[in-house]
Amino acid sequence: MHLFIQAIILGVLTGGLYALMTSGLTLTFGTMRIINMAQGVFVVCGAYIGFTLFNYLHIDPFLSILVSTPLLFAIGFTLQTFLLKPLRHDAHRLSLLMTWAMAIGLEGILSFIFGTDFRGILTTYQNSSWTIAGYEIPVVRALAFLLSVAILVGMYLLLTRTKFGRSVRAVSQRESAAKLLGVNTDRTAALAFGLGAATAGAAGAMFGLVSSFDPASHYDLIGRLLAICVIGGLGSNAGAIAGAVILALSESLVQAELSPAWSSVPFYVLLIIVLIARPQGLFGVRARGAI
Amino acid sequence: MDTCLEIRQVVSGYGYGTVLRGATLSVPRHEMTCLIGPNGAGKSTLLRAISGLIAVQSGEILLDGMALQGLTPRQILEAGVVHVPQDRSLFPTLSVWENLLMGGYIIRDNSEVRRRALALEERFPTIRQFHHSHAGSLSGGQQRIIEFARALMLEPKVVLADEPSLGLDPKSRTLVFETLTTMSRDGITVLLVEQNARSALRVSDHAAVLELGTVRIEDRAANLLDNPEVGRLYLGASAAAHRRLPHAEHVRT
Amino acid sequence: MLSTGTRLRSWILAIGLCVGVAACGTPAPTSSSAATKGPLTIGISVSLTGDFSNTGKAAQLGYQLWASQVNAKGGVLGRQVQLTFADDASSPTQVVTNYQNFISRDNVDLVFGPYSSLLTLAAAKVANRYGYAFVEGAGNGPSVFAAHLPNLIDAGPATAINGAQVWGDYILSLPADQRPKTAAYPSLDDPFSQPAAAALQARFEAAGIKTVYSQIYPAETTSLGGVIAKVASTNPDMVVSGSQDADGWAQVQAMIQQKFNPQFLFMTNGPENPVDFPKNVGAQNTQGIFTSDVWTYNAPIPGNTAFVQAYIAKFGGDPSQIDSTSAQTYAVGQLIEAVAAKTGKIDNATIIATLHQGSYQTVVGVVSVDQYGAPKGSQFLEEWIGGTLTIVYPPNIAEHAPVIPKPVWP
Repeated sequence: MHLFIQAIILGVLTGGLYALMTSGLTLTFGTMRIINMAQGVFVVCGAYIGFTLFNYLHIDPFLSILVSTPLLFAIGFTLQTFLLKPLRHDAHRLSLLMTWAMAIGLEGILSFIFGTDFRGILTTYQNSSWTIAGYEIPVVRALAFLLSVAILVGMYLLLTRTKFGRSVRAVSQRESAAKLLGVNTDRTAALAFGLGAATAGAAGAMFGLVSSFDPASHYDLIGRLLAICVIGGLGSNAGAIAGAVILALSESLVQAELSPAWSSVPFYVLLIIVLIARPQGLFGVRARGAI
Repeated sequence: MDTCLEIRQVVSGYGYGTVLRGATLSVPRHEMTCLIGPNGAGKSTLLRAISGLIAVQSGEILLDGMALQGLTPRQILEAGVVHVPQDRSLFPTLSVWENLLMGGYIIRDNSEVRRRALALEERFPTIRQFHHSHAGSLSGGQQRIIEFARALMLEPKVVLADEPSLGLDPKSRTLVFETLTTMSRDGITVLLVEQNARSALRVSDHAAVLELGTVRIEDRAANLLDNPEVGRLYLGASAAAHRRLPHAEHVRT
Repeated sequence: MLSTGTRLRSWILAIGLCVGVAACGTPAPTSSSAATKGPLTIGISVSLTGDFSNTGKAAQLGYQLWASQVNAKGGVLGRQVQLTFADDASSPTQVVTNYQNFISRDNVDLVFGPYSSLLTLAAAKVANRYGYAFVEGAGNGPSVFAAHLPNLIDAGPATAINGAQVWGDYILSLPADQRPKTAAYPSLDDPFSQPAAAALQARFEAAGIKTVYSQIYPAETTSLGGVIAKVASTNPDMVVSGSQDADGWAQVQAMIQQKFNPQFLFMTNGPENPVDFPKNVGAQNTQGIFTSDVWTYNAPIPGNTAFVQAYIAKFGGDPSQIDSTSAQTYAVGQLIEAVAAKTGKIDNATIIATLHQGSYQTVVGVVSVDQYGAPKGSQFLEEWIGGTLTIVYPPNIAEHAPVIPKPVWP
């Protein structure tokens, strides 16, 4: 029982971070119908930014979020403007290839700058943990979880309570109607893509803290993020959170209670069941453009 | 006659062909003008040319003497022309209230947007009733009312209404026409495109018949209702016209 | 860590490389393989890009150092050594193409091995088809020797499996009351690490040490928290980690976070890296962690000091940063020299026949292989003591006695 609860704690903490990464993917899909294959590499970029700031300027990785988030926003905004916007009329077909090309390109740039060694960020509190009622709660994971939840809440408020958020949701649902009301849909799309990349930037700085990474880490990441998206329902924020927690929880539980070799199996079995029984995902709606 | 919107020899269309071939029309201020004519005549295309959704190849569109052709949709919106398109244009998972606020998107002052939205809520009971509901959950007629209310957020000079009664039951249709009449009585110039020509002529002040991209007849609505040729060609025989050009109305990008 | 994703990337890189080769590859001038005068040409595929690129480059340095030294001495049997390198992008498909080109297009005299067991196995099969000797310094996983290739010789003192046996030698040398009673074996699914841990497990079980945990985790496992939580719940005296590198760091981090401190902690790979390991787990946390290694810059092996000095003279840097792979590939060259000195010949058949018998001193120790090229010796045991990786076993080469039990995490 002790092990079971310990595994649940670790799973939930990991799930929060994955939820943050996935929320960006959900946002870009929700607004632009674009499956952003570069989300994983954006996370890795955030990790390298945290790594660089920590090793050369001794800035705490949690503080480096303040740098990685706007930087990734700028990268996302620029890439959307120069590479994705020109495809807009054919976006549904070509964006998958284009964002994948972005991912490979950024991976190449990262390999060139940082090499292909595995990197890790080692802070003084890296290996500390709080003991609460006999359970070990790793400080880094707990902080990453709390911060992820805070950013997710912030994103939710931004999307539901502000004029910008309203216009993002409006463009995602009826682009032509939004245009008739004076919304600059191109700019909204670029901002939304930038925002999606920015969540990856924030998540990336924390990802670098909880696990080691190399430029190729994004292949594993994007696979997981897409699976989370599909199980939760593409474009659904609640689904992204639920999917992320289900993934992390099932992995952690199976790893501890059964065997690590089987840790991914239940999630992917569930993925197949969902695809057959409920193709729109657990929280997905068939209606176009729901966020 | 005091002309609000002047359309002169407008030629326009889509990538693969010309739809408007020199359309000329004067839309009187503070009145409701309806455009009738067979499918494919270019009625919706004219509205899209006015609101800047498609380019005007030649000719002029003047709002109180100011040229609209060549402006962006947003500039035309700022000039006071609001287009309510034919297909459903509410954002289905935004609440009715949020949809209303979206109508004031180009206004920078958020408190002004709220003030106008609250004023409209006073006027339209439908808004009050469904304030928090998703717009997509309303009936077709209710959605039309919200669309018009949303168009009024900018306190426009001109409202372009494209087939507002399409797909509605008779009771909702009456409600939609009543709303439009009230709008024109409140001093808004309305340009209405209608398939249901007889009902449209009954509520309108002014009217024009569009055929093959040009205005064939322009007159007071009451006169057109009494015109035997119009009656034969466009009021009684609209079904036949419909069959002649079944796909043309779907020509849009 | 290898994963589906990395494999996919390898494919993409391989395809790109094939296109590149097709576009700019002009046929090399054909030289006669029977030539006994002129330069001694040697073809070597190295991983300059892809997963193995860091160690791949280290492999190249060892070969280059040996060639420059032997050429300065007048070459092998009077023939200057001429190395030809081709990048395999860490791809088992590309490595096959590279060696086919070396042998059938360029007609090189000899070929040397690439980096990693994965690529070595694929490449050695090609060389075997053409009757070429395949002396290699960086492929000693069990799958390489299980292929039973008659042309393969591993230029190392030990295979991956028996290399780690030095831990078993040490533990079983302890008096019974000091030995661990229970052991856990969390291992990466990898052809190098996992068999080494499994072999130790079998030996310890036979000696009466109870196995309380034994699981293999896949390469794409990003969080080892669950694995270590389970290990901790079984509370073993000893943990034998079949780790590679990043997963080894993750294991240590999870143990510290969960305040789990085994009395004995041995990891097949990870801690032997004097730079990356303390950087990623924290220098203060390394105390008392054991690993095994084939080579270190300060290992008391004949010729090692000269090798280290020559390496620094040629490439610069710090001795502690020399990768053991460079020493291993350097040893490949030493074996070729040994064959030439012993027989006065330097053809493939002679190399194969000669190296399968006898033993040969190299910078990585004495090399003596069985009929399938697997080295018969064992590695030495290292322990992190006071922030330094120290040789602690066997006693004849130990710099310090082993410090047990492992102190609690600071």
